[in-house]
Amino acid sequence: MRDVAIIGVGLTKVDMHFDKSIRELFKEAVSKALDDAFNPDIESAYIGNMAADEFNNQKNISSLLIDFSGLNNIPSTRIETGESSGGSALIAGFNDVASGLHDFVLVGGVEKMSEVVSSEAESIMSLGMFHEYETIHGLSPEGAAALVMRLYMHRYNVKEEDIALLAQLDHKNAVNNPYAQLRFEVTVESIIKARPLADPITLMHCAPLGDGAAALILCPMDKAKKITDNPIQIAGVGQASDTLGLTQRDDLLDFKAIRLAADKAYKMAGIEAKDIQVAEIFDSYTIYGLIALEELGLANRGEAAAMLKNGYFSKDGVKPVNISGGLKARGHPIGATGVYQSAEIALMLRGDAQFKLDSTPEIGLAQTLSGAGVNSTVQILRRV
Amino acid sequence: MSDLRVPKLWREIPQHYRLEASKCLTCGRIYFPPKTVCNNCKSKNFEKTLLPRKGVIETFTIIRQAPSKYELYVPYAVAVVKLENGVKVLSQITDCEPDKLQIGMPVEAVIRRLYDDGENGVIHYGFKFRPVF
Amino acid sequence: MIMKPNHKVGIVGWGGYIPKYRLPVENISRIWGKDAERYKEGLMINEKAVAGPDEDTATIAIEAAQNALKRAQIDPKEIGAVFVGSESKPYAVKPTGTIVAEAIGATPNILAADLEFACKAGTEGLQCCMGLVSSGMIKYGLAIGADVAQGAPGDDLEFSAASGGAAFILSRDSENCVAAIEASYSYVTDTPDFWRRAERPFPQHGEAFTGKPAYFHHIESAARNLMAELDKKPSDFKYAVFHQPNGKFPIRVAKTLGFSTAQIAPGLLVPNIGNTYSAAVPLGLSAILDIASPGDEILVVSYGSGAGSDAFYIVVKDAIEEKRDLCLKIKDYLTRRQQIGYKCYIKWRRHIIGQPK
Repeated sequence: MRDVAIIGVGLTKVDMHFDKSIRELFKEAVSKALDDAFNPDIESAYIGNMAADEFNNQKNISSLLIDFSGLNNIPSTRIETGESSGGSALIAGFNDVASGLHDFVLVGGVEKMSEVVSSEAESIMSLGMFHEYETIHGLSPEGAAALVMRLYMHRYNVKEEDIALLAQLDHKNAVNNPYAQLRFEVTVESIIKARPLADPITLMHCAPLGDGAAALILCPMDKAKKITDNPIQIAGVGQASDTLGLTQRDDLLDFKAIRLAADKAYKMAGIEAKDIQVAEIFDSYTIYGLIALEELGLANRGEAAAMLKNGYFSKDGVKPVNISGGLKARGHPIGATGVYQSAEIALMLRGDAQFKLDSTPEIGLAQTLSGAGVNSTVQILRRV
Repeated sequence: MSDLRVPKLWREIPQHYRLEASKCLTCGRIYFPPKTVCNNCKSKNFEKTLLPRKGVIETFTIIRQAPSKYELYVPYAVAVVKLENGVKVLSQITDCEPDKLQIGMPVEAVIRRLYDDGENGVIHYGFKFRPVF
Repeated sequence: MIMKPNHKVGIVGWGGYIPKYRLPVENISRIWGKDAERYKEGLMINEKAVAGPDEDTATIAIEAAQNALKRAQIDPKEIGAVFVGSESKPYAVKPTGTIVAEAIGATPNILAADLEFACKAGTEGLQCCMGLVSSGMIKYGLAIGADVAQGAPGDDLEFSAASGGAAFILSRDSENCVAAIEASYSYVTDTPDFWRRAERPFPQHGEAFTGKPAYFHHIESAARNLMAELDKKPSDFKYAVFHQPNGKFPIRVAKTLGFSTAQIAPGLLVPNIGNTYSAAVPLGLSAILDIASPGDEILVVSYGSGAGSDAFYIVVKDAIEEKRDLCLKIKDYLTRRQQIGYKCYIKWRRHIIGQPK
């Protein structure tokens, strides 16, 4: 297996891009990534996208996007694993390069959600749950998160306002991210007093709807070193799935998919959780972010909220998390989110001005999640 | 987008009406919805079994922003119910006062309208749970 | 003509269901600028039982049937026929009986049919089952009366049209039976006192015409003819239950026929739940069985507009004592009560223009 590097990164601002088509948005990210990688000849592409079928009335989305990005006739595949699609696309691209099949591979992610009104978006997002055993009962995705959150609060005696700290942290960090959707700070009070969607989850515990595209250019490390001074190695990847239905697991709070994906990624990278210096975690709902911190081994079980409270995960803390603003404030253009996260980690490891930390980290982690623990990917990036 | 997928829901009637599950004859594990290969012991020998119709609320939420087909019922409760044999099912809690629900509350299964495909479509029935009285 | 089965027939299980929600008369009258007291006195109805937003005739029939099964203690696969009597089927075309049969685990080797005869379709099911079990064609028959009755907003019917259901499982007479149905009598004429045309949402009625030539004539005729054929007099009966579109009619018809208030009181549910249409007499009979003792004789007379009455002579048996407590009783459902307002009622019944259906 060949070592794989990221040599190009391209991001668009997450927003309601009413004036742009999905083609244009994707092309913008790809162009930036290609420029960043000194425009190599791309040989294949993997694109994370959850629901172009429903949001955009479009299947065969990979061919369309590749064509409009000016990449003629290359093999292109859309990857869908729900909300974790971006992470899965990155792993597919990694496999392609690592196996030696292709040298220069594009990994993209895109979601264009603003074509529909929010109630329609709600119905589309609900398609990610077990239709005959969850959706049919009127469960919404935030309802599923609420079931998990209430149980978590009950079992670990954690208060809602402490869970809200993650949303507050996200918003604070997003202020400095030019690509973030919600660049303003919020108070814990405004989070818990926001409009209730599914008790105990309010609107402000949830990632917003938005459009975005992100792109990465991957190639073998030996070639990368000839092209750029700051290649970022994809040191480890892992993916694991779990039951689609929440109730089919022994313990609702056991997000095994994250843990198993992390185990694989740590093993491949030859590191442990404690070695992670910076992380982008998948907090589509605040509670999923807390559980992710625990399953990744960055916090003990039931203690993530307490660690947030004492500043451990803040930008100036021991292990800065969601420097981008996380899903809550950078935004969550679903199929693109996983690509955004790895792109942001790559920029942090490069010491990029837009994601500057006090001391430039060497090892970072990005984690995606679909549904309430249904599928997860973990990517570990390393500066070489 | 039409929701009229009649066979898909018709097929689940034994589960939705009668809580039919499958039990692994090798290791005894019970699956709902039924499975035909055991995730635990990989056996493919199963028998049909009916789930108990009573249990307790393990966790719950009150849905206040519902998917469009469920707006009539807002606010409504959805819970994970742990049945007497330990099997868990996701269900609405009907005939309840949402503010009075709590973890551990005993509930029992009833049959209600689950999903109504507009004025012209089929009505799909299925289990919900309600507080025991 | 009196209908007496060749082989005696009995009830092996009974059960009722009343939804949790109650709409008081005041909450309706206030909206329409009417005098609540006049309705409460005139109809002798204080409030009506309203089905929840996820309930309909099928779900109500299912819970009643499940209760009857708990008391019958039989394998549902042994039920050979299910009849659901209702004037508010969930579908205009598609049977309700199949939904019930499937839910209780009685399919597929079973006859299922829906009956409609305004408020008396529930008791027709009893007669169908009597014939089928008496003849030996089936072992057990399930007869259900259930309704989610509708009155047009603002119409007088809106004060009374209510929701409920009751179910009876019949077999040939045996030790397992809680009561024997000794005989029945039906009396029918073409009398259009109340009707609903096809594809119209609400029924029409002939106001005073629903009384003397309709309700009273048919109930009195059926009751008198049955008692005459059996050589019975009102004082022979411990209990009587008459159809109850309001509180006044059954009290008046009881008085005319020579029954006391004490005889009809246990089966007179209408003041607290309204007129449950096809379920009215079956629920009244269920409430009586909930408290009856072996040897008690019961006269049952239903009425359906259009018009006709079915009368029954029922004698309670020993097994009632051990089966009574096997499921929720009518009084349990009467006690489980949550008051709702008119706006909630109108929303649940999907009467608001433009609301999601």
